[in-house]
Amino acid sequence: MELAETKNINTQLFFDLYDGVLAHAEFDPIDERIKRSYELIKNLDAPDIKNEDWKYTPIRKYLSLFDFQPHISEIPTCEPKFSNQNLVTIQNGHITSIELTKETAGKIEILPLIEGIGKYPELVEKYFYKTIHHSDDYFAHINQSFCLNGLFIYVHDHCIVDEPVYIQQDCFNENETFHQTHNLVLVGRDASMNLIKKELCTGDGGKVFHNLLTDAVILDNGKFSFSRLQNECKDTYQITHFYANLLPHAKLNVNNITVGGAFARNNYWVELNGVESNAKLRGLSLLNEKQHADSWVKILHNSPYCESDQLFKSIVDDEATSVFSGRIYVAKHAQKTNAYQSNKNIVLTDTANSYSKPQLEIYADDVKCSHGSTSGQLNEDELFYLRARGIKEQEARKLLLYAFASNLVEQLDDEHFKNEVKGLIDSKFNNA
Amino acid sequence: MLSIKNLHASIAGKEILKGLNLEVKAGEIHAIMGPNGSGKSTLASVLAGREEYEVTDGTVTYNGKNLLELAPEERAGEGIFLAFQYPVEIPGVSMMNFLKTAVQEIREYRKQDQLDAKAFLQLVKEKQKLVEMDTKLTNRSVNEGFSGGEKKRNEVFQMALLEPSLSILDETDSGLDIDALRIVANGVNKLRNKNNAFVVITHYQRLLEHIVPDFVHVLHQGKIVRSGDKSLALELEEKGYDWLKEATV
Repeated sequence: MELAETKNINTQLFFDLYDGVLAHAEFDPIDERIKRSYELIKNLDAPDIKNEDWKYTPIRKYLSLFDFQPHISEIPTCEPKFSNQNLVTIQNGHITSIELTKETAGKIEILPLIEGIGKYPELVEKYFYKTIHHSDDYFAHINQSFCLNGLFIYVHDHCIVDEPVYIQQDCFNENETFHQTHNLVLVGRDASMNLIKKELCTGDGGKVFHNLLTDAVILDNGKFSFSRLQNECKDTYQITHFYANLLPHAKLNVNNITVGGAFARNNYWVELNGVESNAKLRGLSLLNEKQHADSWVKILHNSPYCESDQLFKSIVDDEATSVFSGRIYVAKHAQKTNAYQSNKNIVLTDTANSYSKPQLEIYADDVKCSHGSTSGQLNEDELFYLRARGIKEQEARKLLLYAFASNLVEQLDDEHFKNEVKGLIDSKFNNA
Repeated sequence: MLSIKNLHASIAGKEILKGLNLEVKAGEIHAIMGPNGSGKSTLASVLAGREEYEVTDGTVTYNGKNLLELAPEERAGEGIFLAFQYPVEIPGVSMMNFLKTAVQEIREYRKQDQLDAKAFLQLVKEKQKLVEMDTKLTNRSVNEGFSGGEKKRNEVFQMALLEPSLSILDETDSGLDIDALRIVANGVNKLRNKNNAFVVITHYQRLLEHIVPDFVHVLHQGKIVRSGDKSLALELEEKGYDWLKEATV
């Protein structure tokens, strides 16, 4: 790491921001919970590589590339509109439009965060800001303390939203910026929704640092599917937090595809708090040049008869780095747990790196758990077999890389999204 | 067609082929037999271009070209086909995508027009029939979950599709029951014509009852120690390899 970790982050900036936000807020400043985050980070600085959770990701180095200027996040004013598709646009960190079809609008509410909190204080009180406080992630608490910008998504009880809801996040700022969004997702009883988020940059502007958080609560027998494509430009750095709280029989399905950006840290904190809840997490990182992507996963089995399944894959080329750190925690009373974890990496060059840390922490005695990790090159026998059939080496490599990624791509259920991801993978491998 | 002169090849510093000579002409079928470790599979791998094998001496020319200078895919383009002893399973690469890529790349190399989707499907259907291959297999990933017999049949199927001028069958009979053996041999016999040639590597005479060779060579300690017609195979079957070893000492 050529840049020394010398420059401390100006946390005062965040506190100035915080005071600014409070001055603007017309409501009781989301009270005790925010204050707890605030207290937690007040005396801390950003983690360094001595912190086990950040061992392979020199976050201070990335932060030191920025010279953040304080600015106060404006509270968005956009009104939800009817449209022929479900689409939310976020530009330069601000929500610029919320469109829902008539069909969807009767089942789901998508509101600017503050409005949602104002409208449903009792739901927020009852369900949110719990899981975040079980973790001590510095950046999650920064987000929680200072961010009032984001979405409040509420799928009403017994409502199945058939059409996916798309979130398109775009950045075209000219200046160096620090963006935060904070989304709350509440999936009601017997309800279901499919959220697809695409992150991109259309402008060729200044460096951007995102610190994004989604806190999802899935009530009894609810189903939440969240697919995300990270395809931002080379000057994008981001930390993303995904917290989920699953109640009895709830189902969570997460697919994360990381293709673009300079640096991405994806944190997943999933609590299986109700019996027979089920979480499936899939991650695919395709990295080249000096890209760095770090997936950090913690799944907590707090109830019996739950199932979780993690599959994270990466392909690292050039001088890129992938990191996976996953932990399955099974509480003492969470009997009959099924928990699986797998991390597979293909390292294409001598200068690319892949770090993997699969972990189990089990206190129950009647469980089925597995974890495994493999890292290696493309299989020479497979390569030779293809070449012996007349397929050029580069083409053969492409076929094998695609094959490696395919089981994560093929199971994306939205055809448009799947084709977009396929196209991106193709072009990424063509340039490789 | 194929001319191998004084071929020496080693793997991981160990010399396996120690001065092998072989001439194959169009229209011929050559059988190569020999005990375990005599270098049969090494010969197949060297001809197909497997990089772990190092050629330390000798020449291999194919239709006038120096074969040893060519990459494996170029050799395939030139018309060499290796039917693998252990066909590789490639999960995630669909059979159809694999076959299409192979056919189009080889056509490109041979300066033939690309096939459109319909013509390609027609070709696949026709060749599938030829080797009596279950059409369901082409809906799967390459060799994934295929039985031993299905894998070998898939090799002959690919051979039919790519229309090589020289096919090397590396112990294609190993692990096959009689019915599968007959189907594989029938496929080869149907593909056989005066313009192409086969090198059949085998332990046993059994396969040669179905694919009748013009020449039989016995490989021992990296060299061909004896050549003859198909009666040599019968002789080997009867007497084993021991007497040959003694005779060569």
